[in-house]
This record gives sequence, C-alpha cells and structure tokens, in this order.
Amino acid sequence: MNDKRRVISEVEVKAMDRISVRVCSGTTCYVLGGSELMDLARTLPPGWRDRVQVEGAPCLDLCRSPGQARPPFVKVGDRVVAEASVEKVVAALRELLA
Amino acid sequence: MSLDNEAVLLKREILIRVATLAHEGTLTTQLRKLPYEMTAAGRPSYRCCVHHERAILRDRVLAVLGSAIEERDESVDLNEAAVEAWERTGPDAFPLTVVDEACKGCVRSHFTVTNACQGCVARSCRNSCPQGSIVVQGGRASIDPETCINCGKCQEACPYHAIIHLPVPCEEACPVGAVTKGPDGKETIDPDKCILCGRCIGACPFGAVMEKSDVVRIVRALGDDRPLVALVAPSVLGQFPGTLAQIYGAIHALGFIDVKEVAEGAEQTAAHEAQEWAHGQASGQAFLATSCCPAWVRASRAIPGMGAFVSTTPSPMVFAARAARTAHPGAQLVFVGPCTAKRREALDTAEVDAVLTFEELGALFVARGIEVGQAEPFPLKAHRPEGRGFALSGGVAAAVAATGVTGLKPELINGLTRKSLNLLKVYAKGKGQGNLVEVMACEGGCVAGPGKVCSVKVALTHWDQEAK
Ligand code: FES
Repeated sequence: MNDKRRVISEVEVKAMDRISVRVCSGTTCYVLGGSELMDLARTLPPGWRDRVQVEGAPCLDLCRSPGQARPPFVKVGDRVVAEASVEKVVAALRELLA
Repeated sequence: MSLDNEAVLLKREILIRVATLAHEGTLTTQLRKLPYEMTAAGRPSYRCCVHHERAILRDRVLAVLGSAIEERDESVDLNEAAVEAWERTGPDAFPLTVVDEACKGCVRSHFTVTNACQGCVARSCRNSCPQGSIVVQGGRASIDPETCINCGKCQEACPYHAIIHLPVPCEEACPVGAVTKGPDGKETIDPDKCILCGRCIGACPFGAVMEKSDVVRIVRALGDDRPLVALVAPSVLGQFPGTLAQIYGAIHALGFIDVKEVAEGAEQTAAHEAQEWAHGQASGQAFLATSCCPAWVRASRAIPGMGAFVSTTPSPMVFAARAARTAHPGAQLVFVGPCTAKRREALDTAEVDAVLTFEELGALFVARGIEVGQAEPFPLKAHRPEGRGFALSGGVAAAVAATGVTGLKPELINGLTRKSLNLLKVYAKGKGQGNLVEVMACEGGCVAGPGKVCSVKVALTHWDQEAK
C-alpha cells in the first residue's frame, strides 16, 4: 500500500517537470508546413519521452499578430519557435533539457 | 516535400495573400503592393537583388491569377491583371506555366569531374569511356562535353567517387520528355507531349514551374448568386487538421451549398469497370487498364496499341458530377483534389465547372479564417471503404476485386516514370502478366498529387487512424 503511493507521487512529479511542446494545428500553420510536425512526438529521442509532453494545440494566435515571425509555430515551454521544423524544435528542447 | 522545399511554401503564401485580397474585395486595388510586402526587411531573400526577387514574385502572382507567364507583357500592372482575373470566365486550356525569370536555366544534364579527383595512375575513368572523351592533364581528369554521351560509365569506374552527375531536375522528373530547353536555355513545356502529371512542379528547386490557378474565379463565384457544390476527392483525408467530417464542414462553411464525396462516384467507377473487365475477358481481351487517373489517360494516347486496352469507364469525378447535377440542377460544380491533370479533364469532359487543389482550398480557409480543427462536422453518408481507397495505389484494383469478379490478376503501376512507361509499352504489345493494370501517375496514389498539402507519410498516418 505504502509502496504504491510512493510510485504514484513520483509519476506526478515527473508530469509536472515535463516540458510542454505545443504544436499549432491551426489551419494557417498546418497549410504552411505544420502538417509535417504532426508526428513530432514519435521523432523525438526515446530518452526524452518522459521529460517532454507533446500535444497539438488550436491556433496559437501567432499567425495573426503583426511582425516578421512566420508559421508554422510551436511553443516549447514559453518559447515560440517560428518557421518550425522538427530540427528546430529538437534544438530548442536540447537547450532547455541541458 | 513541404517543409524541405521553401518554393512550395512561397507559392502557398502567395495563394493565401491573393485569396485574402480577393475575399476582402481589394484585389484590384492592393495586389500591386504584394511583391513589395513580401520583400520587406526581415524576409528571407533567395535572389541576387530585391528587384529580381520582386520580378519573380510578380510572375508567381500572375500564375496564381491564372495567367500564362510566357505570354505576359513585361509592363503589365498587377492591379490590372487582377481585374482581368476577376473577369475571367474559365481557365486556360493548358494548366502549367514556366516562370522564366525564376528558371535558373540549369546547364544541360551532364557528368563532371570534381576536385575530389586524385589524378590517379589507374586512369579507370579514361579506360571506361567508350567515347574517348576523358583526358587527364595536370593531375586531374576532365570530360569533353562535345563528345560525351552521358553514359555514366566513368562515374561508376572512379575509385574516389570524384565524378558526379548534374541533372536538370525538371527534365529528369518528366516521364515523357515534354520539358526541354528553349534557345535561351530556359525550360519550356510541350503542351502536346505533357501528360500533366505535375512532377516538374515539385522537382524544380527554384519553383519555376507553376500551375495557373483558378482560385480568384472561385472566390468570385462563392460571392455570386449561383450556388456552388464541392466534389471532394477521397485523398483529402489528412490534408487538413481535424476529421474527414470536419474538413467537409469547413468546405461547407466557405459557402458551398453541398459537399459531395467523390468516393461515391468511385464506387460506380469500380462497379462499371468490373463489368467492363469481365466482358473483355470473355471476349479474349488480354487486359484492361484503369482510367481514373487523367495523367495516365493522356500518357496512354502516346503508347501505340494501348488505346484498345484503356477502360472507357467514366472517372469517379464524372460519376460524382452527374449525381450532383441531378441533385442540384443549376449549381456550379467544383472538383477539389490534389491533381493537375484533373484541371484538363474538367475542361475536356465539361462535367465540372472548376477545379481547386488542396493547396488552394487551404488558402481559401486561411483567407476566411476558418479553423478546420474546430469546424462543425458535415454529415457524411456511410460508404463502403473501397470508394475512398481510390486515393491510394492499389485501391482501384482492390475496389474492382471487391465487386466479386473472379480470376483477377492485377498489376499495379505505382507512379508513371520512364521505367514504368516502358513496362506499359510491353503490355500494349500483349505481353504483360496481369489482366487488370491499375495505373496511378503519382507514387503512392492521389495522396501524392502535386496539389497536396501534406507529405504522403503524414497523410498515411491519418488514413491509418481513420481506418481504426
Ligand atoms: S494557425 Fe498557428 S498560430 Fe494561428
């Protein structure tokens, strides 16, 4: 009984520590190359799986903001990756995980 | 494709900007500014100077307006071109155009010795050359372009892999030799030879081959009184976020009064083709070649003897269009798919009024701010899966088989290349193994069409999910 409780809390701690990766699946991002990020989770190094939480997100509202940043967008933690590619997201994660 | 070819993304951005202006009603007053906006500070540049960059963007815009770049007047103003596009009553008969400003005029396809050459004693390159085109001077081999016949034997022979082949990507991609150089070194497409497979569009690293889009006319038609009905190819799955029903819902939200699955027409094509096949077999016909791929139907005309074997069954688009005309008399029909050759099939059959690619549909969604992932699902009829399967290589043969005919020996031609065309020539001589030859011009099937949004790999993950 005690053992079980300990395991659960460990999982919870891990979930809190996870870096959130939000892949925009709004139409603009998807059409401008974001489609290729849809299986991002599967392309990440296996060792990162329990440290990173990848999820799709509705339009992050970055495509409508003025400025030169261009879609597709991915949010890695609080960081915005513009013109995102798998390589760019991996690089951003590597910095955060280091 | 997609992310790794920035030329594709550039084209999509122009499509989005043009569709947005057209929707807002400012196309004819604001279009002139587009090349300037797209070359503003901080934007990536690809060319020697901003003037060249703008000249190319201007030509790309003209293609998106549906014009032939080859016939343009250098001085034409984009706002005026927009007026012309807005007034246009139908697309050009030949749907491709070469942006000659963008065409690099690649040097003729050839082999060349790189500086990895060690000037070795073996002289394997020289000894392998049937033409005596190679000399070794100053410790380095060189190839005489005048006498070289491009056989590639020297490349195979070199122990240092110092000899490379420099292709002309668009010419290499064309399975029928329709793309060749004009006197100025720029590429031209022979409209009589071209089968409209669209391979050159994706092959050119400079994005110089473009489709003449009909998107402005469709934006206009969406605002007109006459209702529009969309006929959507089954390959649409995965082209946008959300489920199939949501994609249909998003199309409905654009203002189409009805959205029909071409998969429904595909079921009729399969049934009809199965009958045709059985009749042919009974009367001693060696094989039947499928007819749903319009690029293949065009290609088949240039193969002596093939005509007798190509199915005369109407394509899924045609069956779907006939049903839609009965259901909605007076409506304009828009075929939505990934296919360049369909543009021509639409004109030749006069069964549909316009063709929209998935890329262009995406531009309309963005222009209208429609989030496909949040769209209201559109009620889809229950279908047998075989109709939707037409989008994938093997799907047509599978659908014919599912009708219950016996003795079927299918051969799948998954992609029209020079090599597969040679096999088809063998078939035309009556020497093939199969008795049903399914031909799809794009490798993987329609999901790989030139007007697709996402890569085949991504599309297929959606197909796997939807099948579950
Ligand atoms: S669609 Fe990605 S930020 Fe809007």
